[in-house]
Amino acid sequence: MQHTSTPSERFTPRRGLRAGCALALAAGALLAGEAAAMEVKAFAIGDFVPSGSGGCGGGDRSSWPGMVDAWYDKMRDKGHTKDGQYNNGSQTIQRFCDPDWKSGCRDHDYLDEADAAMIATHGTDGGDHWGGTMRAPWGGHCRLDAGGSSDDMWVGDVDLEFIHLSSCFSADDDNLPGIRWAMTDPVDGGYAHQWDGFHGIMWISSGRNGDYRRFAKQGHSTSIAEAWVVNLYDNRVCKDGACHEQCPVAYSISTTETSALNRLRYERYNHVYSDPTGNNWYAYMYIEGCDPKSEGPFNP
Amino acid sequence: MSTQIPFRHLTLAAAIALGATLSLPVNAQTLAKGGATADPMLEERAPTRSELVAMLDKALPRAIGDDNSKLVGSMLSAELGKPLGETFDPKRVIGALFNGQRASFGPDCGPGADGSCTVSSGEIDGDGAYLELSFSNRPQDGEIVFIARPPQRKLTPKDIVPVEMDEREALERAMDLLGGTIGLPLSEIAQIPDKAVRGLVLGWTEPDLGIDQQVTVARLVALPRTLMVPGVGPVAAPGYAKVLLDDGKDGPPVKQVSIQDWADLRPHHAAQPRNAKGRAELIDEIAGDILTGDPGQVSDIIAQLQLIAVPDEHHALIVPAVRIAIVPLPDETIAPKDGEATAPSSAIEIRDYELVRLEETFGDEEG
Repeated sequence: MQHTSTPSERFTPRRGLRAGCALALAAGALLAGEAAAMEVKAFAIGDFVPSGSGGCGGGDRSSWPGMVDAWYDKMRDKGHTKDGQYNNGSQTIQRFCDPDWKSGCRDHDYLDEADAAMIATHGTDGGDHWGGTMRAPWGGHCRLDAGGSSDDMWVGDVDLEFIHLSSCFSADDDNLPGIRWAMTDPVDGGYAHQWDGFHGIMWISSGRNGDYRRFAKQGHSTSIAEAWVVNLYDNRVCKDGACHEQCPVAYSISTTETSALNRLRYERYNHVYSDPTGNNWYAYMYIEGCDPKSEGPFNP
Repeated sequence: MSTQIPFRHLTLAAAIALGATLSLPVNAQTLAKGGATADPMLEERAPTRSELVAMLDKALPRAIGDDNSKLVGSMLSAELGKPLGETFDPKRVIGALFNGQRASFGPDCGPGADGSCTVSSGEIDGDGAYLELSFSNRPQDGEIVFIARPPQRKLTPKDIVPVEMDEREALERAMDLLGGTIGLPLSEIAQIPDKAVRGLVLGWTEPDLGIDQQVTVARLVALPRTLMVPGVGPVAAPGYAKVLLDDGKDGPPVKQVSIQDWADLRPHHAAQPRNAKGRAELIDEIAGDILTGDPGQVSDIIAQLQLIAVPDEHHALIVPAVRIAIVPLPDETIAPKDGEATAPSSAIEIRDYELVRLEETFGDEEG
């Protein structure tokens, strides 16, 4: 797809851009301000399979695919291309892992083939990274480990710019340094732009479809980061006067703090920058002190 | 293979089932078999029906007793303010929030149109300042969003300055905006939660250089709709208002307003107090429903009285209910070591259960 440039990249040309990036940057500079349709994919599990039946375990959450569907449909309404919706079925890490890590992985046909994608599944805190529960094992793996010390997920080398995770622990405060390693391929190069997830536990309900629909819509009017954090924040589940929170976090990478911040502050679905050329800096947006179930308050 | 389960993996139900007396660690008898799950993740066990019934009985509000006809009657009499569908005036909002900018009504606007109407100033696809007000063409649906996007500029860390507005001022300004400009009935915010005002923070980090900065740049005010129920107190209802504010140094200080599901409410004509469910009946219904699927592990249940709304042609109809949050992981989840994971299940599921059996009705009668 076409890209526009970040302010820093527009005014300060970089060295060492890969050929593809350079072409995209040049095209983007010519088309600055124009929106281009993106290819959008959605992956959701609501019906989990017990390990005794050959699955990966996990409690059923039947409303989950509908929440993702709300985002997916609204993206279509905004002019993007529905490029694949995968609910339940053979949801294994094969769709999300990179062949440079393990032969047979096919992220180039699924996750990394999209421009924007959402994954919904149970999540775990793997110590320094997020782990997503799959529906069925593949290659001995039931969990997609992404970022930090794990190697399963390396996106950005094919196409993916924006990845949204409707999954617990997908942007835990203590895992922020490692998220960027899932947003790049150390073998082929290339970088994704933004990762949106949650600190701690998130919430499932058919009554929350609207949050995902609004996120998709508002991600065209204001920054994707702000649309994610404001729409997905929630303080409505209370017990004995104490309210629990859902804590969304938006995350970007780049070679400078200025570029990472500008991506976070300004990048939208209809205003996409050129690909980052490094990930030594990351920037993030969150709700101060947000305190979800099963985790302490967000404290990076 | 014998694997030890860290304490964080044990749920209340699992501890009961294993007969554990906190003499941990214990052996996992149900760890994945046959190599199906090579990842170090605990196989969960869903609660038995009796365990779930005990958890529900502990969680359900004491206000729910054996005879809930009075409770249902009170909840149906929740105090409603003047409907937003009657008080919301887009022209007033545009006058207050568009700062004199020319507002263009989209082709999707009008009383007979479906969906939402969008009024804007500036180019949505551009990089300049942009204002947008969108609202349902059926004002009684209670869906309103305002966005003020600042113009793009080259932002450097020194441009990221702390918001000066404190939480109290943010709440006051948000309430003024909601009650005055938007027309939201503030009496329908009968209880302001303790975390109603939060900071929106930008952070940036370069680990190798040891640079790690966070700056609170705006205030987010998040106010759930709560109605005062006679004899009960504030009860949650469908409707959520959020306002994002800053000091207005790069454009209007009101950055976002989001009113969700703040529909005009009426009591449901088919909800009669005489048909209220009893506590045991309700618990039985909820337990049966949860166990119809495979809920996975359940470590806690949060329950609260809730007014839910059933869409109707003209209004949304109130039904007294209880909201259940099914929590799979315990509060004291300890950060695992590298390579471990907490459990296959994580996300909290929220379900609503009606407190009253709705009577069958015929025709177009409306309460």
